[in-house]
Amino acid sequence: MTDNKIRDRAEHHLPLRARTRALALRLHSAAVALIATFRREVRRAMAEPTYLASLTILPLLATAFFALYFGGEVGEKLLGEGEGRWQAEGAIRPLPVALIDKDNTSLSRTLHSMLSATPAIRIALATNTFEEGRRSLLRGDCYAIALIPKGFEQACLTFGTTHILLYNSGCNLTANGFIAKAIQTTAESLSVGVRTQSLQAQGLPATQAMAEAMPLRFDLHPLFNPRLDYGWYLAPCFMAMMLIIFTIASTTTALGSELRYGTAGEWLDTAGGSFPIALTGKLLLVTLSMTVAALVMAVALRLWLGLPIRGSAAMLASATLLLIVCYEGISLLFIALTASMRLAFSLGGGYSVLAFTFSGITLPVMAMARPLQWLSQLFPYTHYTNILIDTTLRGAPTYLALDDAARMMLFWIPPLLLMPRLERICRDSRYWGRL
Amino acid sequence: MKSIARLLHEIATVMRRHYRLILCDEGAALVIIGAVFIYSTLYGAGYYREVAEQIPVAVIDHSRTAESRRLIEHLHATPQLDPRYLAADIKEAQRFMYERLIHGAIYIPSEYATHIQRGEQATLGIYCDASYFLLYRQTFKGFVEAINATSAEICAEQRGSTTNESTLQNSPKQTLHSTGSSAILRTPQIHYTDHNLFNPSLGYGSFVMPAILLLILQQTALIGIGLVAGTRREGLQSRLLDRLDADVVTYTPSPLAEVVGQWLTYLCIYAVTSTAILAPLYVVMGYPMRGSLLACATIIGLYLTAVILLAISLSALFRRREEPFVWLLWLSIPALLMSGASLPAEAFPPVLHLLGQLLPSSSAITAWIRVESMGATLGDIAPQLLRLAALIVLYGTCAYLTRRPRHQQ
Repeated sequence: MTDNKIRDRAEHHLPLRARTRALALRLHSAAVALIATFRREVRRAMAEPTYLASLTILPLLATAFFALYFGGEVGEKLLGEGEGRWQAEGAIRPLPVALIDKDNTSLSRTLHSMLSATPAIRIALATNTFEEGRRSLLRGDCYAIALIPKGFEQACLTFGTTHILLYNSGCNLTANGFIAKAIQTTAESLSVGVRTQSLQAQGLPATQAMAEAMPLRFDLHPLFNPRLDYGWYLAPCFMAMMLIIFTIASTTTALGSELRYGTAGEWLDTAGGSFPIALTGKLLLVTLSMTVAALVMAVALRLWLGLPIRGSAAMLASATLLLIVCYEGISLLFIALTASMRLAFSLGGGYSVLAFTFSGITLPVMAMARPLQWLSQLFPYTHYTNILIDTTLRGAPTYLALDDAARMMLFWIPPLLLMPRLERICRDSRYWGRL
Repeated sequence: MKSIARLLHEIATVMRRHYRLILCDEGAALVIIGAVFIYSTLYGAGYYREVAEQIPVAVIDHSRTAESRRLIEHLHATPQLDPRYLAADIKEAQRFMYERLIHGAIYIPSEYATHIQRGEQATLGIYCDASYFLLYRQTFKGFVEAINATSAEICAEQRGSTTNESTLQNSPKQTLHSTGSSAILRTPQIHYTDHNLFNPSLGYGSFVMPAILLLILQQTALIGIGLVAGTRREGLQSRLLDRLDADVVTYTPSPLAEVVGQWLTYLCIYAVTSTAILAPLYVVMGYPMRGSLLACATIIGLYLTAVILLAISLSALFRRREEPFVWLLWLSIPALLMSGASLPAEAFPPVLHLLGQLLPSSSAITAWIRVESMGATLGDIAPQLLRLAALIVLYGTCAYLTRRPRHQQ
């Protein structure tokens, strides 16, 4: 501190040219120290398989998993999976349903074949006892039971009232949704068809019969994800989860191991004793690796899953970089708070894994209890996924993302406030070697 | 006889040592015991309110008639929707949608009322935000319910019949374009009725939490047991045990005793923690509980055994305390996805479903949901139990083999 003051004062009296030269020299030595720290960090990563894995192979493995999991048209061609998956809504192979036909007439058989022709479902079991259907549901052979009651056709012929019943398992909401929609639509079209025919038979012209049978109809427009593709909806968010998990893992390893194995002194020496340079050199490697991982994810999403980027790609790229930097800051915060690598791992691990639940991607934030809505704001991931969905699926105007980006930046305030403490921990050997 | 006594003694020694290792090491205790409670409480709280209701939507009413107002009233009446915005046109609705003010919109064309009065078919436009699937599903359902209810009313009025109106109003949810009976024209009626079994309100927590709870047990066990093993490898163990004046450090048990002893230690700990978390959480949150105690205990017992043996096998790979975090933490989401509990097995490649069977969580989650949520018996889940047994044999062998070379040294 005093050295610097003396040097500054000394430089102040020098002529301008000499002062410029002195500044250039200082910049040069800072750059040299930064490069030296960065190279040391690369060497450390090469020597430590777990650290190296968290920077390279594990993010790639995770990306490969999600790319494979959510398939995609390209994936399906390469893997040669069953036909028809991509005709069905949500890119799901037909879901098994049990059909109990207690009527067994030509009309109930018509309904059976209409249901069989629905791409979202397949009739896994056709029976006439409810018990058999129930057992197959409990054994997991089907997700739902559709029931055609006795006297179904008779009721239709005698202008009576009858039912199509669906017993749909609520234990898998995804399957439940697709099955309910498929069967409701089929039931509706059969119902309208039967009524229109009946009205026509009573002498009503076709269009009028149709209007009588169904006075209101609607055109459905699923916005932003017209095919209701689960891959488009979930894969980007899951990949971003992986990005934050590995950012936290590698940042905590990078800094925590210096403390744990007592090498922090050596690290600061490499950086010429400057803490900011030492930290920058260290974070540079993590940032670079995670940026590369994010680029691989982007390529996988764009080319393999065909995810559209309807908004600003520049905004998405900046937000992703911001996400990486945010979680680096949070890892530093946890180390500064605990001065222990293992505790920082526990805290960081929990914080990263919980982010998904509170992001509102599955259960929307507005459906959460009020205190949990506030809690959801305490995860940069929540704000990032808003931007992610805006720039990819929604194609929302870019200015709307600025609010979320600004909120993400706020997450650097606590780590910056604790920076002096972090420096003290790194410089003071009493903090080193902790479990 | 003597060898059995010796084995039992060795097992007891291993157990004593491991209890110390876990309980005297805050790091290990935090992951193995604390994390189970922290995670399950936080996840449970996150999914506490289970369904999205009163989702804000916009109405683009170009008709502005009594007929269109009636439709809007029906929108208000649905539990899913709250038509709190009036948009001048599609463009304005789109702007609202981008700003996340609304998640759906309905377009009522100007000729809507004329069509209805002339007895012609009127067409509406429904716009649902499909970038959040749960919201999409709810808004779509709300719109369809409101339209069907309006439709039924129109039919009933057009026929001038009041006899059927009351029954229609009683069951608007279940009625699709129901028509009142008419003296002149008669039509048959086919009602579509659906019952959601096991989770009648289709709550998100009741759907996903059983899987998450089981997964928490697996992930904390894998990481925690790896952490303990890493600690021992690092030689930190003696430093830790010094605190308790342990006298057992120098003693080397046989590999069988080592595996069985560790398994028993962790099984006891997890039997307590899993009961302590599952029972109160299921009661407080009101998740479905239909399984018999025997069936539940069987699944959890086999599951924990398989998980612990897998963890013991994996822990042979860890040289340092912090390594299991890096290698295993990210696997939570893939493990949940591969179990088929969130997305059905039909939604992802069979290869991954097969790969997922290597994790105890896949079979156990399937079996658990089938028994506890749906009320299946042990006979119904025999294939899953067999798979768990196979995994126990597989990972038991692995665990034994990984402990062998150390013994011979």
